[in-house]
Amino acid sequence: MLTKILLLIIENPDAKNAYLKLKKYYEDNNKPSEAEALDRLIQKKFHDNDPNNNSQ
Amino acid sequence: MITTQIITHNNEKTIQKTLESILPLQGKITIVDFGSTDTTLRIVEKFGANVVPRITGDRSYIRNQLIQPGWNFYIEPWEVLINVFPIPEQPRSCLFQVISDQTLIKEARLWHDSTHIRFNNPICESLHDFNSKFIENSIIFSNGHSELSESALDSWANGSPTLSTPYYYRAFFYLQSQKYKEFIRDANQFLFLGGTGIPAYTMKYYLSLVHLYVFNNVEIAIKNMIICLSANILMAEFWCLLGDAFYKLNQYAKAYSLYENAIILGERRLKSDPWPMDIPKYKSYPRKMMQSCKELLEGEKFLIGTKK
Repeated sequence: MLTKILLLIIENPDAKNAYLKLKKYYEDNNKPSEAEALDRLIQKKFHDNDPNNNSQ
Repeated sequence: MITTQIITHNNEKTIQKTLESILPLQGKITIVDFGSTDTTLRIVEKFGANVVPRITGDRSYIRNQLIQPGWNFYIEPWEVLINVFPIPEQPRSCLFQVISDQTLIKEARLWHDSTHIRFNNPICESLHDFNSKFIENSIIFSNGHSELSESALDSWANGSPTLSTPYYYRAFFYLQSQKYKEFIRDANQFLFLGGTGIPAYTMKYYLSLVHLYVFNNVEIAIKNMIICLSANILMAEFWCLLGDAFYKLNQYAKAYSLYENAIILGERRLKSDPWPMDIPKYKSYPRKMMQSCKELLEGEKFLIGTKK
């Protein structure tokens, strides 16, 4: 699962959806540091203050 | 009382600073000298260190013989302790941050004899304790490295053919000696023999570096980095290497984005995590590469515009 998501990111490192999936993976697996880091990455990379907003 | 142990061998250029840095600990200094022919011993005596006769045995055996009741600390004769650290209230072992050549690693350097932690590895001696905790202001700056001999590493590997550890150290010896085919052979042997955890991911990282830069095997480097990232997504080194792979493939937009990930995710790494850190990969290197990608992308756009 994790490898598949990472492959998606490597395929297209500008695809917000893949980062959201990765963030969810870490949330589901109780890894808050990683989920929080991805949250910040989504905000910075996509200039998005609401990381749950997948409109881009 | 704290006892610092140091093994010396012709370290006249660096030992003075090492000893000056540990003086504020106000403890005992025990030296075992491996036959220095320079002024090392004269310098050591000025500091009132206790020079004990060389004990027969490998480095771990010697270090274990030097352990004293109470707190023990070890430092190499080319290292400098940057800050005086607070002694913990409870007996345990403590991790220090050792900075060498812009790489930061974490090693157990301070321990209480009552914990019964002992050195292992006959050549590259080290302390292993899963319960080691970080200690505040624990920085050691290193200005050199152990003189490893290929023959000693060979005899260690040949004497323990099913043990992964000798291959780990011999692989890095070959890497430093730029013997890349030998490095790949030993790195793979280390992984085959069950090397696990952070050492295994570190090995995969260096394997990828060699595959990418020496043998131009971009695909192998990318595959290894996916495995490494699945272990720790916050390692800027892994994102940078992926960026490098796509940079090599002239895919600059992709590389730019991966370098950006290195900066943003790398920022979130906890200071106290046990992973090593290649310091420039957290800011200066990916920034420089992003700038390069940007310029190349603008150049590509310009060329396309000219063709039209």
